[in-house]
Amino acid sequence: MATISIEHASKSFGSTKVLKDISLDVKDGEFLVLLGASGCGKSTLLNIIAGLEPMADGTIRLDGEVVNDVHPKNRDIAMVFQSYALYPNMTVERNIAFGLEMRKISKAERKATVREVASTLQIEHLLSRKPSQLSGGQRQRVAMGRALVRRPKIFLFDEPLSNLDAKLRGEMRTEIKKLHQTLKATMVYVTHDQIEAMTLADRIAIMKDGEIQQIGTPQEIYSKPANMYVAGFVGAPPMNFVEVDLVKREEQLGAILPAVLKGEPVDHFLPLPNSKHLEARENTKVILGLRPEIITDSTSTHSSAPEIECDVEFLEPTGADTLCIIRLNGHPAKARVSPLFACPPGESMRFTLDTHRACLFDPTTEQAIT
Amino acid sequence: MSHPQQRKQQMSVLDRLQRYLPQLVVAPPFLLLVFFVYGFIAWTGIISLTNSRMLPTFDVQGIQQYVRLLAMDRWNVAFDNLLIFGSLYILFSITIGCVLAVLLDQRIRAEGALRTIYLYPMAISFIVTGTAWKWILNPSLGIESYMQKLGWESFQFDWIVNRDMAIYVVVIAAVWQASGFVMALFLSALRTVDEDIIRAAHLDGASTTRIYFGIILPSLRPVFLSAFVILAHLSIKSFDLVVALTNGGPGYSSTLPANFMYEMAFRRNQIGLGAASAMMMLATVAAIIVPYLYSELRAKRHG
Amino acid sequence: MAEPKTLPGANGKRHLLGRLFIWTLLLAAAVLYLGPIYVVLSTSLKDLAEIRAGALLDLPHELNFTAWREAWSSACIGVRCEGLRPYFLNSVIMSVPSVAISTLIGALSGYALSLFRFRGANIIFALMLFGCFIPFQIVILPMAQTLGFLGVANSITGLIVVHTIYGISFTTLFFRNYYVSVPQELVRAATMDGAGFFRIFWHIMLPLSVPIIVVSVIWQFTQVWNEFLFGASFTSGGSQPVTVALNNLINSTTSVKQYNVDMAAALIAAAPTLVVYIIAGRFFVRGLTAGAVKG
Repeated sequence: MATISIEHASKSFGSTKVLKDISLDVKDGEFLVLLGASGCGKSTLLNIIAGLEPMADGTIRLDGEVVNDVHPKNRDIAMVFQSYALYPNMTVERNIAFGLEMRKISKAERKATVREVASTLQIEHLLSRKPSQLSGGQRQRVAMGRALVRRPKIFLFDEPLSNLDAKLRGEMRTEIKKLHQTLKATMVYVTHDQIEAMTLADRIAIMKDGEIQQIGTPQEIYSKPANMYVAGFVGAPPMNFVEVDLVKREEQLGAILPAVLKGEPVDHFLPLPNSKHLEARENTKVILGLRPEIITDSTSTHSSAPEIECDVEFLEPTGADTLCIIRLNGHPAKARVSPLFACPPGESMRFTLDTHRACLFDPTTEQAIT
Repeated sequence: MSHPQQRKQQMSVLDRLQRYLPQLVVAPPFLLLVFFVYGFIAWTGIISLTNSRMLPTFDVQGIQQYVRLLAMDRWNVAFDNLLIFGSLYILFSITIGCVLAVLLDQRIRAEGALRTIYLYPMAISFIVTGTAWKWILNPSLGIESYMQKLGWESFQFDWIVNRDMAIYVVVIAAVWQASGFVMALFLSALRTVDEDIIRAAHLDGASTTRIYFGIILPSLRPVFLSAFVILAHLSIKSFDLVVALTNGGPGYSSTLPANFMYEMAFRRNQIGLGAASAMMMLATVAAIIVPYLYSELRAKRHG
Repeated sequence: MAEPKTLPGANGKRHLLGRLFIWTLLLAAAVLYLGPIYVVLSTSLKDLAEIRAGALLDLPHELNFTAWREAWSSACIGVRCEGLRPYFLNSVIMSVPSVAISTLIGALSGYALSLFRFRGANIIFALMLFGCFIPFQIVILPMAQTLGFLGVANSITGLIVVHTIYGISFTTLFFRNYYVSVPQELVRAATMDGAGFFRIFWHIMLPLSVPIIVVSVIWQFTQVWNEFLFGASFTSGGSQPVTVALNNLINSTTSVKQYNVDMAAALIAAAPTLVVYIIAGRFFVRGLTAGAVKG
């Protein structure tokens, strides 16, 4: 059993507020990812959970018990750091055992536990080496071992994979996920990498400027972003935003989508389904959010979706798909089509738009319109 | 290995103590510093306001010691000497150090050995430096007589016993000692200059000389400033070198303020006057150091 | 495009002339820097007759170590004719504890200052920095009184106290600047592992500190060994350090000037710091530049 509950946490460094009234609950055994750009406060929040930094205001509970004043070593938490923070003067074995040594565990017991952890992580052959003799991936494993050996209730990860190359990062991601499934421990994981967040998390909390923008499952975050920041942060290439007029034609509410066809401006009318809640916004401007895969070649999707025809300016082949850069309301937008159907740049082609999956945002508040 | 019973306990007394340990550890040395540096500065300041002669008294009279000091020829000579010595010492040390650093930066094979040679005087005490130069420059058996015996009859180098030139002898010995240090400062800074910038400039057709004067040396401005500050404060503190080299003479023609202070306080039973001159020295150092430290620490905070 | 292997201009006659010019300057400078030590060394090996002949720059006719022996054990300094030896020992007795104690205190307080950004740490840092720059004339009068009050006036113990106190500013800064560059995460990891302030210092920081300990020890040793003002102000007679004794020897006007003994004495006084410099020059330079390079 290990739940984390934070209420109204706030903190400032000098005059900058790094955390503004954050409340957050982590369920037992949950894998929560704190996702955000650097400086958004995610690492500070993690350090507060660890007890390494005090809060200015707020309460933090572990298993329902207030631990604001409990020393980090008594919180039964382990942490993996971005730089691994291995003690350079100690062997791998002593690095892993150091936490046990500080807790006055007997030497024999220490040795046995370290062996066990080392075999789980397949680093037994490295035990007598110094950190400087290890590769990045090996250091990463040792850092994990140091956290695992104490069998804490809660694991904290502070961007643990950001110093690894892309291939190793993928492998370690899988291992961390496997570890979570075997240990069933509560884990909080900080990253700026949305792929890591999407693949690892049970739930993601997206942070910006010391505030949580949205908490939800990866799928919720991706398909129902709460605001334009979240929508733009998650997904690659990012969501296209187009400012459009909402108008009614033949009793159907829709958006006027200005595009370019054969060099000439052309307005497409895009009927919006399930638009009851939008009635009040008729004849106003809204932001239409279209992920690239929503704009696709008309041959690959069912024909009921509306179609537009417009000029393709450039192509960006990615292998599995080809991205067509088109112009919507004066700004470049990306469409994801099958390589088989991409037309050469400079020509025009027909795209279908799956309006069911489109998002709408208020242009002033930037919040999703629901 | 979890300890549920530990969870229950709130922060123990020991843990609380842990939180204040850094302050507790810094406190004793910091208090020593406050007393032995800042307390003593105040103490000297008070003595300088008294008529203390053989023993310090605390009977504050006012600023008459400063008035006396500024009217004394001996002090004015010492202060003028400081200006001459300080400016030449800084100028030559930086110029020579900088030139040597640039020359050593040209992929010289014996760089390590040469560096060791240029820098060794810094490891020697001023007393030893003074002793050596005093011997070399003494007119009857030193370099002057040697050159004359070699056949250069008109060769004259009697500065060390010349009232008007003795202070320049101090400059020579001091530059000999410090220029290697400036060289080391510049050389380590030159090594941090981005090689790609130099390569790019070469491809743009700039000559090596142009690259140094146009690009590299201007980028070393902070090093010039550091060297200046260090040398300036060293020149104000200069004491031992004069003692060993000229002992302030002939007469008091090569005295520096530091020697003046020592003479008054320990030889002539003019403790009040000595304290006043020490305060003047401190003020001179502070005028250079305080703005420097202020800007450095500010820059760090914003950096 | 082909990358130029050497810099342009690194070919032909112009290049050769340039190298020649650089080497001439560098070697001329080396001669000038080595000149004084050569003169001092050769003079110390000559006898007085040879010196009076005035061949300053000539090599000695034969190696004659009498002057060295005399400088070490029988030259008269003041009324005592025991050579530099007792004063040399004084300097050793003075240096060892003041170097050790100030380095230890500097390590601890530098560690506390660096890793724990408590309120006021910056002010303390600034005050310590300024303490490194003050002219010591400002403290000698009160210090003379304080040493008298503590009952250690005119003693080596007094000098140890003085050197330790004024060394702390430097050593603290050395260690603080060094520890600031140690990743904070290391301390955080050790805290999570359950280590406290002293255990982190002992198990993690100290084993990492070997280079800066060497720098600090060399710096302090050079400073203390070469120091003159405190020695001249606070001691007299038999408790003087070697720099003061050397100066007394050189500037004594009582007997016939024995230049060879003077020079041998100067070399004896300079020997310890020169040896340290030659053995560990790299660290010596780092100490010198530590104050100038931003932390």
